[in-house]
Amino acid sequence: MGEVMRRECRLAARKPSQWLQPLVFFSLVVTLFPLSLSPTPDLLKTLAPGVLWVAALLSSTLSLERLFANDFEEGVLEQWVLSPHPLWVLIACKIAVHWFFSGVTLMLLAPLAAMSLAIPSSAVGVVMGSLALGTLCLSLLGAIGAALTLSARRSSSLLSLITLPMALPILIFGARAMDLASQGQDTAGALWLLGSLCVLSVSLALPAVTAAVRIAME
Amino acid sequence: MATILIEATEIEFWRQDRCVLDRLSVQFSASEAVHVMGANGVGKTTLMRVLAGFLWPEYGTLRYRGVPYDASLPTLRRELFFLGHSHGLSADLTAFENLQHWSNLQGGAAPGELEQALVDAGVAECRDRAVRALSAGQKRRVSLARLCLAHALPVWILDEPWTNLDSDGMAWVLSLIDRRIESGGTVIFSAHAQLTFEPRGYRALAL
Repeated sequence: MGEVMRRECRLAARKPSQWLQPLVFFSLVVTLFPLSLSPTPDLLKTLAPGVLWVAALLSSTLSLERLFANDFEEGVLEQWVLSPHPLWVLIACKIAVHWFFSGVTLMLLAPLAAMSLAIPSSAVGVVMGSLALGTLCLSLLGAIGAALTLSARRSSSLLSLITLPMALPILIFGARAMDLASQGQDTAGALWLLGSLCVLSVSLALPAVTAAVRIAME
Repeated sequence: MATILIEATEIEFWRQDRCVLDRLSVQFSASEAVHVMGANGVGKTTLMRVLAGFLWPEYGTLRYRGVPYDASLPTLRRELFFLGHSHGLSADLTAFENLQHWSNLQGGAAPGELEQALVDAGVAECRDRAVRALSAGQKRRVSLARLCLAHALPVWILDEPWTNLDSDGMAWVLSLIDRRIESGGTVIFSAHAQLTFEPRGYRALAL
């Protein structure tokens, strides 16, 4: 549905702080680490995957907090439920745009972050690819949490409690892929697993989010 | 005998341990403007949300054009205009963009129709202003401008449509409701105050 995408992009353009803030957070975390640790390339290289992924995870949680909240409070979700289009399609478009502004931008930022953490340039492709897949999963899983916490206002801690356990496999396989890549080993296995987690998240998240939004209308 | 559009039979709705709707049976026919009245907290909004299919009653059945809601809800959703307490407007978009979004989800409007709706609603000068910057009455008018675009939808459910409106605005909404009734629709609206005017086909439903 082009209409929903257009609207979401328009909203993102009106309020750039909403998606810029998590990105700034991400870059701050990954630049602070090398400053506070001893800047030996070997140490940084070992820590880098973990640091990058934890920063990506937390920044995605930040960006998810208001995913549905504004539309819910303003009654736009209500109009979506009533519209002749299937609700899950509208929601899928919304999540896709959210991923574009949180995930794709983060992926574009990743080469810089990788450089500051002494990840070899040969591994940058895998860093970007795994982050792209991982952030898509995070957007989808986070949307479940964001939709479930709609009726419980001011619930960011609840949101992370719901989302973070589900995000653990993504963190593990994503960091593993980066780790293997920076050691110059084959990463196909870890990336495939991330990809299948993506497929699983799509099939899990869309029905769950749609149901949660309907429940929030009550 | 006019066609019955929505029919509720003995519906019961509970909020925690309080019974809000108690064995309520009511019918809404074509060409009827039903005023749901009652004090605050008596269940006007609940009834409207039940009729719109957002809430399911614990007991009783709801039918749309004779078909139970389980099967007819998609049809009802296509033929229903619902306006709740919230305006359904995004604060960061302009009045026009909000109207456009709604109308595109409904299937689109003819060119110029959106502008005309804003003119009719008396908020033409707010067209390109963010909704955030509008007054409460102007927001109401923008959200009610959708009524001009929804004139073909047979069922209107309006929760307190006159809130925040001045007398001009109230007369305008009344004329829209009249037009909808004349062309065979049904309008269900709530207002906790007594009305100083009566739309065509008026019937009061006291909760």
